[in-house]
Amino acid sequence: MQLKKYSLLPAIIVVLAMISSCKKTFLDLNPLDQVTEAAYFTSPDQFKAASNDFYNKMVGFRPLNSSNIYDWEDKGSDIIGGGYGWPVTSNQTDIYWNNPYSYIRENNVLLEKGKAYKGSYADIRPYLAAAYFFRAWQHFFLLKRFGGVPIDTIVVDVNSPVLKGPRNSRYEVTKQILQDLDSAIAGLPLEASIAAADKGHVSQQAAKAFKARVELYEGTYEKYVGKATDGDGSATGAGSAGYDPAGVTNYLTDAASLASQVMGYSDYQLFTGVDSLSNYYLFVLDDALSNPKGLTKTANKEFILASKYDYTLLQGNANLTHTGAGGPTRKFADMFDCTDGLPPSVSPLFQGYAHMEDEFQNRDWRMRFVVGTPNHKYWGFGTAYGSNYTLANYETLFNWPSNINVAYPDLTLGGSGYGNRKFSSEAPNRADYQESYDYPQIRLAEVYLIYAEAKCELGNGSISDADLNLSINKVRARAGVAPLTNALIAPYPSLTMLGEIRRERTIELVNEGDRFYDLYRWGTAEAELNPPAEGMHVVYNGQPTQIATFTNPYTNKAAYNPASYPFGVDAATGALLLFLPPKTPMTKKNYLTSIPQDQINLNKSLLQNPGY
Amino acid sequence: MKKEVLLFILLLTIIQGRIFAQNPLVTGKVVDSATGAPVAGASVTVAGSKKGTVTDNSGTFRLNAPSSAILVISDVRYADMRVPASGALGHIQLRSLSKDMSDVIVVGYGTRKKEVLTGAISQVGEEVFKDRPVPNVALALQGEVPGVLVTRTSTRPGNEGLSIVLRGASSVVAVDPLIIIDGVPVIGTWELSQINPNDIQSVSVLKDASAAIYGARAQGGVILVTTKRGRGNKMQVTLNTNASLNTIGIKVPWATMPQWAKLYLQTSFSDKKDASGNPVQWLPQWTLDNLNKMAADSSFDYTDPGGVVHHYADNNWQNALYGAAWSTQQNLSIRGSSGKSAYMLSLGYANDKSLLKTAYDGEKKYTVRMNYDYNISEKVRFESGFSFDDRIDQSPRNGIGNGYFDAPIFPTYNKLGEFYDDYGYRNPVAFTQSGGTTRNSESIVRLNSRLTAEIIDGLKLTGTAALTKRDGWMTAYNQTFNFYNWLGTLVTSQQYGPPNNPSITETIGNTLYQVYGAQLDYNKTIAEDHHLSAMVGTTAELSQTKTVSATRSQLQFPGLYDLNTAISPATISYTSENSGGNSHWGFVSYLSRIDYDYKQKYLLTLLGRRDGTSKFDVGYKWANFYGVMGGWRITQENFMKTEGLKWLNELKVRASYGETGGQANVGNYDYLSTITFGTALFGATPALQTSSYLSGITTDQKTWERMQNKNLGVDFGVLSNHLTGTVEVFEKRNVGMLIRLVYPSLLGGTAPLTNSGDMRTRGWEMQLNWKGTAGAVTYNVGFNLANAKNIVTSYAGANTWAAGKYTTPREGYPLNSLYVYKTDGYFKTQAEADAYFTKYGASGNAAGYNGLTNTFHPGDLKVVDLDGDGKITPTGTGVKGSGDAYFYGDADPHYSFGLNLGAAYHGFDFSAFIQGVAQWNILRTGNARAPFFRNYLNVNTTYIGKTWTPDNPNAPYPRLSFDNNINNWNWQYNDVNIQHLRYARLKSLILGYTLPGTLTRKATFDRVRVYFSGNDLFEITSVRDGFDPERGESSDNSYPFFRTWAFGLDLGF
Repeated sequence: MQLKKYSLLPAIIVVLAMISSCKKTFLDLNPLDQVTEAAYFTSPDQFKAASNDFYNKMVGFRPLNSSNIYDWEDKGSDIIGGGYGWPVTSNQTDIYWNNPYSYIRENNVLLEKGKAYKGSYADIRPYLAAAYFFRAWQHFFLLKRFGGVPIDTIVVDVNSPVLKGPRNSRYEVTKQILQDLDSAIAGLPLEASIAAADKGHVSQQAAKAFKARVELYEGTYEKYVGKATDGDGSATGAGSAGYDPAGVTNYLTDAASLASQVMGYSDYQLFTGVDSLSNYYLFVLDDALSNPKGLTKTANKEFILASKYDYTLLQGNANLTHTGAGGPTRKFADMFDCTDGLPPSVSPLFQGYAHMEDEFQNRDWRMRFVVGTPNHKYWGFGTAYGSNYTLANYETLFNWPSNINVAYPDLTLGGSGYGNRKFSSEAPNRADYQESYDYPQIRLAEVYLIYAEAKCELGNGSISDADLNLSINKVRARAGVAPLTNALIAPYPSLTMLGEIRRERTIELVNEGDRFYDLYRWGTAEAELNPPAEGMHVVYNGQPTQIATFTNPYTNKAAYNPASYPFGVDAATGALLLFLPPKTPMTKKNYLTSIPQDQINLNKSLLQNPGY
Repeated sequence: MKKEVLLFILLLTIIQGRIFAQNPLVTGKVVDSATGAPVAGASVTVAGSKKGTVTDNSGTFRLNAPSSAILVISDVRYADMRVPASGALGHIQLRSLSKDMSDVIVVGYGTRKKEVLTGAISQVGEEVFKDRPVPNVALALQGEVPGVLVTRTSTRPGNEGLSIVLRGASSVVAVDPLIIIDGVPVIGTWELSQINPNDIQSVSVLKDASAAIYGARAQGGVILVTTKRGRGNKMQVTLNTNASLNTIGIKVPWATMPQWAKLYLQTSFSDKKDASGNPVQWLPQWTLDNLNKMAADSSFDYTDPGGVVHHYADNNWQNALYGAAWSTQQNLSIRGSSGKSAYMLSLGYANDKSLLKTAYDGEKKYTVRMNYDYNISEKVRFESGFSFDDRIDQSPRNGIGNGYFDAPIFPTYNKLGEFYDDYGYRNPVAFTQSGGTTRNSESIVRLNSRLTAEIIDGLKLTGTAALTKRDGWMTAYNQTFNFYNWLGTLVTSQQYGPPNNPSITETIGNTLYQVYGAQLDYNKTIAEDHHLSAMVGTTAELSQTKTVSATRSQLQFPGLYDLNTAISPATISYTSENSGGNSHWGFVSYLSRIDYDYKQKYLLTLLGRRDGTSKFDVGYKWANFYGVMGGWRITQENFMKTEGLKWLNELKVRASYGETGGQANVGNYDYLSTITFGTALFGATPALQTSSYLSGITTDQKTWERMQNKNLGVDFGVLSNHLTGTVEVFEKRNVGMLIRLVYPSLLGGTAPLTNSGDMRTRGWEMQLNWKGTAGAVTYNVGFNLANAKNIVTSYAGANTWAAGKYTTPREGYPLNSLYVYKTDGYFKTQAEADAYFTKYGASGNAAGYNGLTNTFHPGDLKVVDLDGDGKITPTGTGVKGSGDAYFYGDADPHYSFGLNLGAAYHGFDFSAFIQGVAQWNILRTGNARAPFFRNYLNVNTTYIGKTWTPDNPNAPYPRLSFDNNINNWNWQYNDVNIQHLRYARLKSLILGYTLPGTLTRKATFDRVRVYFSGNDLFEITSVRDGFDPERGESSDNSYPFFRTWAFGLDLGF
């Protein structure tokens, strides 16, 4: 069986030809289970889908690339938790620097794809406007935390000069934010024209409200802090390029004007659905079992923009009820006005601290919602303790089930004795991490507060009763507090109009992440944050208070254990000291968080904030 | 394509002529040339005809053939013999092939004789796998081949955490060697853990430029596995059975309850001080009263202020979870040949169980292999292989490895015998026993066929076709169970309860992999001294993978675990209950090899390969790879043949250079940007809308990584080849390494992989073998030692790093570098600690150490401000040399060695294998890295009495603390936290006895052997905190390593 020699050549040719012809089969292979970029961004629906993702990129309850809502409550401030929670050290790395830039990239991609879009511009305009809105949103997030940062308005690639570029000053960043917001306002629909199925998409009013927030923030920051945290821009900090002395007035004027425009729309209303308890239930409004009136989220017209959650479709995924940022401090408990509209320091209605319920008498309703009143029953949480509103009239609260105990302060753990209730659910059908109320990103109450503060700043500390009635007094009315008027505070030299407006803001927006930034922009952070936090009074008028000697009937243990308070009692007031004064007190440098060191290492042009 | 190949193979088989007629009788006797023993069953054919016969049991044959004819005598065990057909031929001596087999090294697309080998290729034979209760080829190779580093992090069958690295790192990501079984690349390296070790004839490892014949995928070296084929004229049936007992090896010395409580009480005064500086007791979790009782080793009930009754008692979770377990292995093989065909059939079963007592945790393997060879004609040979492996790993779905570093104070069961939990749902016995099961089945069918035709003398054409089908199927379900408190009240939170549980997930992944090849081999000896062999070939491969996964929750019926027995609620977690996946990749290659030698003295090999792949964009798909290898057998020179050098039997010097490629880090479609879809919630009535985003930043301009391999080797044999050895030095350089450069986060995403890095690995290997006899004892000793070190020589992009084991590459440093803080002893006084805080506390790492408990005290480590910038930071300004974390060394094992000992005396045989590592820096990670690293955990008794106290100021370890920040400061990233690990472990010990043949043959057995075989029986280790030396750095997984004690029986008949 000798194979003929000449048959060899054809055999080889057959094999080689065969394999060459297969190159297409073997080498030109495209994805089978994914759509590629080249085939996308060709229809309005695809633009909508891409802009929908921006809403997922706001910090809210649900962790987002390692974000934690506790970082964005007021923990460690003078009013919540206590304990020097300001930025101290230079961070090696910071997700709150890294994440916003990755979100901005998405905004920029959409804006760039919009330019190449072949179809009708009008079809995609609202989505492009949303991209402008969120690009401003993320830049503002960075501005508040770091001061001036590099502005990012292109789809950056690895060769883009901006990667090696310096920081823009806070003035330039603000300008960019406001410019983007103008583009957003021009392209976004009014709330009324957003279809029911699309509710939750950003409206023109939301962009205006947000712009007012930015302008109030920057206007007051420039007014009270000025260039103190800018650095020189050549050795430290982002510098002061683009600073305009007229900025303060311009920003505040525009802020008031925008706030006023938003206030003029009837689409938004303060939530008053649960009578005097509205201010509590607004923040835990989930399904019909979450509140005594069986309301659902549709009853809430106050949130202008929110991170939306739903028990079935998208849970909050944060442990909001069992664990929170921390308990309110003595100082915060003393901020609530009495019902006459005056603070405890001057109000004749204030009852003192001798008995544990005393200080809760005749106070702003919000005090009861933020802090549980001692010696009262409260719904707990979960199936065993959760609310059963059919058993008890929700306002007078009688006929409690036998398994619900009376709540007493616990001064054995080193805490202030006050517990926080904001964002804390009492629904029986919610487990940890399943709380699914919406997280307010912008709400009407804040717009009222922006209006009042901007007007008062523009008036150099004075504001008309008419302006107060248009705005802040609506918020106070919901809390059962008498209106703020010029006449009301006139007799008390310790009270100023600006001070009262700021107090109102602090109370209304507690745990919504504003406290630190408010103190920074007011330039008062050193004075407010450095004194050690205090807890309940164990001594009042020279006598031990009720709680100091109280035995909890359920545990048969003393409610107060002095050993848990190694720093003792404030001799001047009789309140428990929770901390020693900080070893390194805060200074102006701490108004800004450090630029993360890893970013400086990668880009030498990024100058660290002064003092780090 | 497939069809065409088959057609072609068919064509080759039918081109045969067939003519014969009545002719004179020819007789002869076929014998083995070495032993003179008759060869039965050899085929005797008349060349060029179909006519032929087979030798009988005495080796004789009778055949009619024309006197002009040539007889071809063939047998698979022997080289073919051609004799003229003339009357009585007498004894015809066949030269045995099997004798040569040990010298024949598998080199990739062919074989070479060992003496003319030019590359750094090591080969081990079946002895490595024989009689070891290790049903895993990769594990059995540990330490056997110098330069092949096999590490594992567990002994859990099926979950060993195996890694195989050839000659150190090849790239910034782990690069597995390319594994080839009988000429067919595997789908995944894990197949090496799947095939039956008993089927293996040899494992050959291509370590240098010799791997270049595999081109673009040979970056990490190549391991060629060759399975046994039929041989022997008589059917040999071998039955091997063994049963082994796995027992707990090294136990981490966890404290008992009284030890723990005493230490807890001691620590409680460590952290807090009052305003005047006196220690204040701080008990973050348990009351003083309770701790005192625990310290007194009493078990007791405690009613807390809320009225809940707790029970405390000593509990060793290790004992509650783990105990000895039996495993078995059975193998049956049938091998033989007759006439033109040879066969090997093997059946294997192994049931390998881990130590877990509370549930089945182990691996079952079923393997079938059938290798069948048929000489279609004198010139045409057909070889085929069929194998089926099914490997089933089954283990508890939850709780594996958890919990055993928890405080030893809670009993497993409550008063009523229910699962007790007092510790935040952490009872690992409950989780492993009742939390559900994961069952993963991987079955693989491999078919391969090869048809070889000798076209003219010395020229062979080979066609191959192979097909591998993998079916992976994982079923994972959990079960709902409850925890109870001591008195039997349900603890509120149910484990794996509705709505999202108990859930079941089925994941199916199928891969179809096809390889077709053609190869032309030419062998020629010119003028007697010039030996030339040349090969050209081409291959084409296509791999297609499809996956489907589906999940449902709320399984309704215990015992029925299927999607159909679950109803899923419409909740958040179940909005997408199923998913798919579909991908493919292809390869086309052309290859060539030329071997030339002159008088077997001067040796030269040239290799070339051109590879194209679907994974890169047009214009970047193709690349060429090559190798040049030379050798000089100095002992073949005449000047060496003197009396004085008689002791030197062999001396060969080899050198090679070659370039290979790699793509370990490359996905199938990385060069394309894709869109990822998600959801976002909108609407007055909430509803999810589609959201989308670009998946990442991509580049189309990347191609293969390129590895430059240099090798210099010396082989020698002295003293009548009693002592043989090899020494190799090598350098590998990866140029154009695919790395993800680190850009400022302003980029907004992760940078794509680009060919931007450059890395160099250098190392050496040595191997020595001694074979000798002493009286009736024959013995052998083998020793190998190897080391490799890498350095990232170019990393185009800015550097960033952190303290600890830093895995992102950094220019000028090895991968997996350890950056630690330099320490200068402990603070001796509070004043010293305070002064330190004053100096460094304003910023950097030391900032924040000013709280109630996180304050520096005497006994805390004094971290040195190396760069003198007034703050303790790991990176400083980012410039090399700045920052306070300094480069300590790498975290890879170095100087790995193996020592083989073997001896035989009459029927007794002994072999032992010791494997170890001489240098390994371990920076312990995880929760158990330090005493009370978190205060609620158990402590390792290693530290008791060895931590700083005022009375023991020179203690080896810092003070005890409950404060996380203090523990982080003292126990994480400091020079003193690094352990210098060395170990040597008795991997294998085999003692066997073969019954005398005279005895066994009466019972119709050819061979009866009984043996004891042990794994990991003994070790010497320098680990200071009681963990197993092979575990690596983590202290979190609790699974103990085990020792194996096996008894086995070999029967041959």
